[in-house]
Amino acid sequence: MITVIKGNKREVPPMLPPLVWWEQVMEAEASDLSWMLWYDPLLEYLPPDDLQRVRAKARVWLLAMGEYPRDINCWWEIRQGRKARIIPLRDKGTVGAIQDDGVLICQECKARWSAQHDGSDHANRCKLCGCWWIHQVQPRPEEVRI
Amino acid sequence: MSMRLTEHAVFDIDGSGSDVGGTTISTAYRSMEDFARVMAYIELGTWNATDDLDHGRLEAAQDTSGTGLGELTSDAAAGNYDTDNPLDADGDFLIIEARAEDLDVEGSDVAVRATAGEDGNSGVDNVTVVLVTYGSSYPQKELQGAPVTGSKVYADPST
Repeated sequence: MITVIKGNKREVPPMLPPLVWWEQVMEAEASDLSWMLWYDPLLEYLPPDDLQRVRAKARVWLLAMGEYPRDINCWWEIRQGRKARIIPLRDKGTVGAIQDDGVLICQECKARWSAQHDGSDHANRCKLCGCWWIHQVQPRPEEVRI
Repeated sequence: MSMRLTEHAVFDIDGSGSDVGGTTISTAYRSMEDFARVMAYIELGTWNATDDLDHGRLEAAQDTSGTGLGELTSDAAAGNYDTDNPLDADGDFLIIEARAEDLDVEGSDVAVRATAGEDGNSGVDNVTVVLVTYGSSYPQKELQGAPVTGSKVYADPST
């Protein structure tokens, strides 16, 4: 039997192995989660299956971290919803810090985005967390005057 | 029975952050003879916003030289790895699990490897691929191979 699991490290509670995390998510998804006192506006846009999956992930996060997740923008179902345009674009900006090698680091989610081989500019929005960027080239250490 | 993973499993790693833009990378072939299960863990590092992970699969062959190589899992639209919903960001991971009985016995498949790749190559696309073959029928120490000073080292808190 083939099993396939997709996700991002940011939605797995720290110190929890991904496979253990997934087993707990599957178990929670099969249970009644109506008692959960957790709400995020992004849940409004999700179809029923994705909603149950996200709530299951939130329950696993609660058990592992002792509190409900505060930011689910990097979670798989939310990202797929943005791609499918059923979730609106995120109305939050941050800095996209561009390093010497052209890699842009989103200051919200810390995702690393490589430069385009053709020299064109980076996009103006992070595909992972959804924030829009103000591009900022990081100064070299010798250029920083204290 | 010992619970040391090194007595029940073997590891194959490729990538360690290799750029797979416009190409694919694969682990070495690993014979599943006497092992029950195999798992591939594929994780994206620095990634290009225009690119997607187009390939993520387990492959099987008749021997560890790759004879009769074929796909054990699929990577296509609606496949085992659904490329219509691809990995496309730093930190994304793909886990593929299979059992020995999933191998094509009639085709004499005994060896597996994990493959990842990206076709577009708009920028650097780093991937790490780890293959874990486990559930040895005959647990014994140092399944990964005899230790070699400075090269193949087994360490634990008691050493």
